[in-house]
Amino acid sequence: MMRRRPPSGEVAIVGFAQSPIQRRSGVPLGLVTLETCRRAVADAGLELHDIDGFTTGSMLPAFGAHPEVDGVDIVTANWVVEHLGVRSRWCAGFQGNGQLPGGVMLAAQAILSGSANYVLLHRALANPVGGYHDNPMTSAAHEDQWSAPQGLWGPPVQIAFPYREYMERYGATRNHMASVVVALRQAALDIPWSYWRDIPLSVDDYLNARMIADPISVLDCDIPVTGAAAFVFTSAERAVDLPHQAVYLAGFGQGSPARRGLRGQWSLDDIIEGGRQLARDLWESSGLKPGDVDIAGLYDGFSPFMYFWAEALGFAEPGDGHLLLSEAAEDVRFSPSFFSSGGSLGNGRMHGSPQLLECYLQLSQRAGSRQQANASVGLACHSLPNAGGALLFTTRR
Amino acid sequence: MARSWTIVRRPFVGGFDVVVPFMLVWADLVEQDDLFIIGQLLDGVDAPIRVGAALHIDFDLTGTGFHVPALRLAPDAP
Repeated sequence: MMRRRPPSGEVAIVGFAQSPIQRRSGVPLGLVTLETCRRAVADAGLELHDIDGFTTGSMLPAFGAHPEVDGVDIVTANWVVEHLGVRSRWCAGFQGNGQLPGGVMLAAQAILSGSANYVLLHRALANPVGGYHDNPMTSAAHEDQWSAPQGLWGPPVQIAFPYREYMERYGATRNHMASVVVALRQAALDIPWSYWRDIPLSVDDYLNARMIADPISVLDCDIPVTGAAAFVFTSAERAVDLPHQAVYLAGFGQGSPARRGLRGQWSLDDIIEGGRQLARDLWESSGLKPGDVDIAGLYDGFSPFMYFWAEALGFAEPGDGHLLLSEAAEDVRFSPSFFSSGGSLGNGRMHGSPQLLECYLQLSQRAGSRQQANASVGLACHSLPNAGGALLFTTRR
Repeated sequence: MARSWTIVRRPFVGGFDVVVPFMLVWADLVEQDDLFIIGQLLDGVDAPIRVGAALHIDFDLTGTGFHVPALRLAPDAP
């Protein structure tokens, strides 16, 4: 049987840019994205005309009835190419969950196949006008007919089910989660572009937060924001001629549902079982193991996702994710570092960008005051283990 | 049989703002593996729900002619 080619060490991140993360921007998302892309290319020591590949995952992750106008509410790779006024040899978008890991793998495959030499990957998120998941629907068809008439709508409600399962099965409490969320917000105080940069959070703030769908409170959900991140990828050979220390893609895993189901209706077992294949692919493709990781960017768009990722990837035994992470949250020297990116709960709803950015910054020794000594292996995840993706990066080929 | 539940306090679908808070329960069907239904629990948000609680299906939720599947705690549940 032919095995897929591992990407280990052959493709590197060589530059980045991150826009300010704002609740809403007075500048159209497309313009925010173009400026961020230009800065990323310059950061990599390249000119715009050097970039010959473009990719993204452009999903607006809302259940609301919002328009999705390219350049306004979403930004596709095609839109970036057209408005940068450059010629692309290769342009593609990732359309599954795990938008950013999927986009990274598209970029890697374009470089490995020779389709492009330098690939610009961006992720742009807008906070649309009105309630993010509010949907004024008066009828529901297709799979929505089985959920909307029950009042079952939107990720906060959907995620409450596996989180409640987790709490009941393993004895996790909101006090455990309070330490996790507070640690993410604490880390974000040192991140210049974070939406929450100057706004600390206390345990009491968390415990008294407004409930949306018990046990999910408003502070278990990342805040919708407007912003863009961009990264430049190239081959390991080309990377040596560029100004910053290259950070090499070492492994990849893509989530696969354990069983067929309706959108967003996952039990705890569905999430963990579906993540096992992702974990196998991730560790096998890299030759690494959880104990090798220095920077562990577990995705946290909803706080319990971190428990699920920690257990699916093998950082914690089943049922121990809350214990591991609440312990790590109380110890800034804990290794791996689970919180240094600030995550989505600390930065805003940037859909995996904080985790990928932290891998790059720490491994390229560009994390400034947050720099951790000897960080050489980083992990970045997005979405859920059964539906999203995970990436490993190293400082060595 | 109840697997999980949530109390919705901030609805996202139009019309549910007048009925919050309400409890949604994920119920696994004992009649067939791997089938489940999520519905409102008609016993209210203070009902003594627990993992494994027995439930009945009820189809009279709205009283407006719509028959949306809903759930009640089985009175003879162990």
